[in-house]
Amino acid sequence: MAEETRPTIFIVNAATGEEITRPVTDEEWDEMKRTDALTVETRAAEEAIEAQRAADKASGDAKLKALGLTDDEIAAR
Amino acid sequence: MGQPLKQFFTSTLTSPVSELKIVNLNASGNRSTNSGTEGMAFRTEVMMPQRLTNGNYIEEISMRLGDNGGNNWQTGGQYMRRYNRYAHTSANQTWSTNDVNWSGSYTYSSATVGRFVGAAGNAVGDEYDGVNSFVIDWYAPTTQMGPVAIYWGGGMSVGSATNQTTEGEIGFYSGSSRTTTYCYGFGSNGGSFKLYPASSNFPIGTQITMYEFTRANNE
Repeated sequence: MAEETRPTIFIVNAATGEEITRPVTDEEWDEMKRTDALTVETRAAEEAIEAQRAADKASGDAKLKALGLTDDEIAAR
Repeated sequence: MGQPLKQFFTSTLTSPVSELKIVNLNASGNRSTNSGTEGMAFRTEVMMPQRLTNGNYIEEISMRLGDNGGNNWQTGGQYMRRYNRYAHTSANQTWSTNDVNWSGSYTYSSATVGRFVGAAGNAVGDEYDGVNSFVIDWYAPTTQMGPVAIYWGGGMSVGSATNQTTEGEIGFYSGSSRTTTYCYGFGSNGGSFKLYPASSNFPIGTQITMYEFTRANNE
């Protein structure tokens, strides 16, 4: 990421009301990058779980329907 | 939640920023005591006039806790990071409560010293409503509390009211472990927190406000 895109940070001192807006330090920027990477990784894992859950539900619903349950009965479970 | 006691501060962004830090809570005139007879609660409102600047519908904001100066932040352990996401595609959708990073139980009981309300915050609108915002509440009962173990940096967490380190923190604390201490408010070591929207910025006009509330026990 180019230097000109370096993020800024807003700091509020709750005691004094002082407000500071400044560019992030190298350390803060590194942490943001780590957080972003973790976010992508975590989100992908959660989406995979959710997709599997949806597939399992669809499969289960189909099996219940094959047993003769109506859509309303399946939805009421 | 009970009645608002006072507003700690309110600030409005005049430029987009990647992170909001609230520091020096200990010296902000808020309660810091080892005993108490009434409950207390904190509310943080982040009101954005539009969605975050990444332009995506799926957004995430994490919240982390640190020391009073805002220089050291928890990087591990319990309850150090929470986030909430949503995937708004139409009006009046709420924030997801499924995609929330959550550690530990938050079920209230007489043996529980506090909890974080609303799964990392409650949305109060979305960009289609003209405001893209969330409210973070956390609170603590007071009576029925046993000795609470305080460990550094934690806040908004829950745990049994027994002598267990890393559990039972309320509010914002930092510093070395202080076991078997009743604590409410921000603690003698103060604390700080920060909000970070992943790969994005809080937009111009974002307003962050923090309040203290009273609350009845068991409320």
